[in-house]
Amino acid sequence: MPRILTIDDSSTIRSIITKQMSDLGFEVDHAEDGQQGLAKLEEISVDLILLDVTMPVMDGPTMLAALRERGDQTPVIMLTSESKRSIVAGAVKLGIEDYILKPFKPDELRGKVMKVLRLDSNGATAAVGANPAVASSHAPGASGDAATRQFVDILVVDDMENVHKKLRGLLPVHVSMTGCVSARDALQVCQEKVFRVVLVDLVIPDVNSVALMNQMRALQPHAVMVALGLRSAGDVSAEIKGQGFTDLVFKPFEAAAVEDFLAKHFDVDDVLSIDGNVLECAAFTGKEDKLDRYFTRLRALCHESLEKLASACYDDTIIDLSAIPLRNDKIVRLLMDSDKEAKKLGISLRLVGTPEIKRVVGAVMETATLPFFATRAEAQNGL
Amino acid sequence: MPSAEMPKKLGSELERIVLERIANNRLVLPAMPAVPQRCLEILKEPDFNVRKLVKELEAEPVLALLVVRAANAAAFGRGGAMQALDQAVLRVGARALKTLIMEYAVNEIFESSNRSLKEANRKVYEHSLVVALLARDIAALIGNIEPDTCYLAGLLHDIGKPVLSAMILEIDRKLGRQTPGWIDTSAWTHIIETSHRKVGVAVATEWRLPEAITAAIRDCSDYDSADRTSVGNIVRLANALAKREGYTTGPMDAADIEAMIMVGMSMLGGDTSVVDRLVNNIGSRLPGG
Repeated sequence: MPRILTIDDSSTIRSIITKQMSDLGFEVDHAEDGQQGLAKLEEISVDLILLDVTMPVMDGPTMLAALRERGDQTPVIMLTSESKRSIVAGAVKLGIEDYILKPFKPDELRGKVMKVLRLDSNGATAAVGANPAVASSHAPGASGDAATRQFVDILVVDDMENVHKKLRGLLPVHVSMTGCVSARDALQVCQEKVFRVVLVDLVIPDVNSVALMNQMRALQPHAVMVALGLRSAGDVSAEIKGQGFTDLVFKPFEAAAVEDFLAKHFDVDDVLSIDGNVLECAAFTGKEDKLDRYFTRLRALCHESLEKLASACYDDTIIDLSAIPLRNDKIVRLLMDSDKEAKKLGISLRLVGTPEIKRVVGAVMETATLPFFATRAEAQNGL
Repeated sequence: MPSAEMPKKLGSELERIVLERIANNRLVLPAMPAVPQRCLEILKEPDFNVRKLVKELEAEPVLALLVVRAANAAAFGRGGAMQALDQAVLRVGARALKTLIMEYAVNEIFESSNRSLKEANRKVYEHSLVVALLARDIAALIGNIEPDTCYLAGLLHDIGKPVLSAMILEIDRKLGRQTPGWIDTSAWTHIIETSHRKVGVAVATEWRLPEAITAAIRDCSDYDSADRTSVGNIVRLANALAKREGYTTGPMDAADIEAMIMVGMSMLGGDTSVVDRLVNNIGSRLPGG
């Protein structure tokens, strides 16, 4: 389990960081100033330091200089309300990995911490290297940007292959699934793909399932972690939730229970529907913190759908964005990815949407050239 | 032959004269070209007079051609190509026309008959154009801020440089020192770097540009944490990204640039991977790219 040291004189900031990092399965240590931080680092070794700039006794830059002076190259992210270029440039010279300006959003902290922890000197994933049972399972350079990784609905980790087969048989065709029989394979696949739900057997020989779940959570921060247990074990829901799982599914599987599971963890109506050559983005109805997942899913589905349209010999397609939530950067990214994929497949894109969306699309040169129409009828006629 | 001390002395003398002119408000600033100025006046009206605007544009054929070309560009183009100026004006719309006309007016400032100055100005223009394109993209990604304003602010953020360069050349001529090489590069760069913002602000004031643009020109050195998504902050990030990509006009400190990018990305939010992709493609979006 990766260990993080947060050095900040604000107890509120320390608490926020501790909560967020613990949720990711990381161990968190604290110090209130640079001097305490240096003393702490003589006692323990950490994978990452989150360092404030302005603190009493010893400030962040002084502490960082002292740390480097004694040959300690532990990765550091500056987490501060200080934005003065001279101070940050000084820290860059001392080898900080990244910078976060207070107040910050949880996503930013999580994203930057994950990025730094995946880039240790060996190219292996520091986030899972602490457990010797699985440390060798990570191919160098296997980690990558979530945007470039394949999106899969479910990962099942169970040493019995029959479990995978049974579950696959009960899932609808459009729900994708990957099965792994060992912790090693599971951690490997977690670096290569993005999962929506991860099912982990509570009893895998020679594997601590809770530790494995925490390690996978570090690699799949947006995935829901669900335990797989035997019915004979009784109702252990409360216990497994205390260990960090969100839910429990019993084996052997029952069709009704799998349906409940799907209803609970998957949107009944998916985020993209296909009608002929029209891809229609569904409205987002969830909570704000699920918006990233919505767009990740949408990008993956657009990618898949374009391939399907190309296979069906369509050479043009319409993406109807009318209902898409107005998140400029996410829309642009979706369209840049889709346009790239469409060009590769020899498909031309036309867009349909509201004037607000047209303004977003038209404002970025990379997407401004995509033909935009107010209605599907206009788009079909190429008006 | 001038002694080694001469360029330094001349540099100090020129700097003194420039600073004195700035302090005493005696800068000779380039006026906004007449036709663009009249066009922008017409466009200030929410329901502007198309016929009046067309009449002005017809007096400046190159500008008129740019408007027609913009109307036929993919971003506006629907249906067949159009030649009529009044239709082109309506298709492009007031907001994009303002940007286009301002861009045309700014271009003239970067022109120079002096060969050395022309090359130096070309580099500043290329850098400014990259900053403008990136600033517009970043604004569009963040939302709630006008991308065209950011584009203009990016294009104009170093406008003081060509104006000041021309001024130095003119002062140098008045001092009777027309021999090339009298002012060494470091002295020239020093004067430009220390004073161009004041001159840029004076130009922006003279041209009555929006305050958001003037503020972006005024100070590009540090982010304004009180207004995270200000036009100035967007231009600061775009400026640092452009420099990292090699579109720079002077010496740069890699750590300083990296710090500006780190702070800017955190301050403005947005999607890092999209910004990186936009930056990687920037060369292909420049004229001739």
